Amino acid sequence: MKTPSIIRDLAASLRNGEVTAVELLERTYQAIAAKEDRVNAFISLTREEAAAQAREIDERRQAGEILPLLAGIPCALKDVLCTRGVRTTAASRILENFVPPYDAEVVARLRREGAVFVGKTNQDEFAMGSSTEISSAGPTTNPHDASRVAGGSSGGSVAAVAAEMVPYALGTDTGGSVREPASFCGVVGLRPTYGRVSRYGVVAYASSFDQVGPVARTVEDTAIVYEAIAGPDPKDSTTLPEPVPSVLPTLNDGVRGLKVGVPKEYFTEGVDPEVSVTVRRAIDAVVNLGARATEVSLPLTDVANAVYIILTRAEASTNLARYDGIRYGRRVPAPTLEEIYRRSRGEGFGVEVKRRILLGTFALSAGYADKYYRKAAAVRREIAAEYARVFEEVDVLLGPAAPEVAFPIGEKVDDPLRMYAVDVLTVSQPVAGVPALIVPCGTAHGLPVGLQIIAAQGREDLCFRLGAAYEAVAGSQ
Amino acid sequence: MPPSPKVTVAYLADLARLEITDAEVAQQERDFQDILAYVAKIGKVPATGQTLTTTISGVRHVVREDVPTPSTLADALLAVAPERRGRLIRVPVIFG
Repeated sequence: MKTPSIIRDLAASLRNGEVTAVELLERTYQAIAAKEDRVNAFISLTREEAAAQAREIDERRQAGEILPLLAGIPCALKDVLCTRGVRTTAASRILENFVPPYDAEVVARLRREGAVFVGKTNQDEFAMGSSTEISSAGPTTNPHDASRVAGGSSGGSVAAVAAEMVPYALGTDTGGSVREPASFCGVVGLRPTYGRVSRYGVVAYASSFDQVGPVARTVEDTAIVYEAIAGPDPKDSTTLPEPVPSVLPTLNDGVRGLKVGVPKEYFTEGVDPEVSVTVRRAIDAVVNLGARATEVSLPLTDVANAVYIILTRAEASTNLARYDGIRYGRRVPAPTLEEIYRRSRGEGFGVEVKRRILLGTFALSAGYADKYYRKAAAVRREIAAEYARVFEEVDVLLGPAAPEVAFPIGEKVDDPLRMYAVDVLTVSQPVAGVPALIVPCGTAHGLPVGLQIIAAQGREDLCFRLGAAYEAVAGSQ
Repeated sequence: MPPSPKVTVAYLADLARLEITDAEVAQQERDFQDILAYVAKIGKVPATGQTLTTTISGVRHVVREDVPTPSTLADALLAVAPERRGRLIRVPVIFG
């Protein structure tokens, strides 16, 4: 059975001359104009650059050139990805006028594929948030219900795809920032294995967790974009050295014989019962397709969020030390160097970014680093070992991506611990470095719910294979 | 073990070279204590880090030879500095 792909359909239309890249771009901006007032998915639109890219693609095609699949197809980029000559703010006042002199590697790779970049999407400041409310550009709303959040931190990228403004977008996922909004907005989103995708040119939050991930409306489209951006990069020495095996050839292999684990810790009383029922129905559908499901246990799930909080804040506090008002970004004039640092950072960073810098500074400070940073790093190893053990028994794990559906705007934004609690089912995978894919699996309370498909490090192929099999039957549930 | 009384938000903000208003201090202090109480649960896990794990994939940072190479980026990087004088980044006098 052929898997649905909006990208392949658009590519076919472009190749056979039914539409030009310029026309496709015009349609995209019309869709954005119709919905952007309500959704607020973008921080900036790049009309001129996009028009030039589209014209070039049309000219090359007219000249008889055979172009890559993504050539001429519009996409959106999270504003944490550096774009040459195009303002990149990370939704922060400290970078409000920053124009990078180079492209992030993922942007460069899509550029080589002929992608047309329509704009930079909204997000939580420095990707630190779970709702896309903590942004200098204001909140992004959920395309299914404008009174609710899109999720975060890649809320703009996800909402732009869910609102059918663009066929695909790139986000980043440090602790669920692609997957939680994908679940809230009813689209497909991948967090790759740590090291699968280059972080070069990605505004850093927590370097041992950050990964760029694709967002699209179908599993195959997500796989196509994943393959376009993945692979070793000499400019990021944390990329995995081996070539990336293609996930597309096994996309239609089905799930017969696959061993599926259902972690009991993903269905505790903290998870909305309606969300649990929706996800369990999806797991039943996967079993009906021939997979074998067993209950498994990941007892450290409960502490993963604490580990995640300590390590990411520690890494953030060192990563964000670079914003000092000297070499780039916002400078608040002051008589001494020290005062420039303090005032530029004090005025440039928002309250959540400051909160994370303060906790990270504490976790790394003399007298506390052993008890917090080093201890959390040691527990991280135990969590990774726990995942490795369970993947000796099963091929993939299935569960919800978030304990609830999209919540009302403003509900948690002043209560950090309640906001962090939303991440409880999406932080242990980055802690362990394993990949996870979200596929829409129905609704609860009338709002979208995502099925989270988790595999061992390097096994994105299994995520996509199961995701494609489920997607094919999901509509008939 | 709660942090010693000297570990206040104002002290941490000073370490982090972060200007923070009095109004912010009170809120951040409350949040800091709440978050610290929440993350204390890691203490219950019997894990000891003999060697520090800084990344989960096992890939080590590889540093290239420290050999000067021409960069086409130098002028572009200078262009994003907030204040310049010629090909230098301008800062206040450090040694009086």
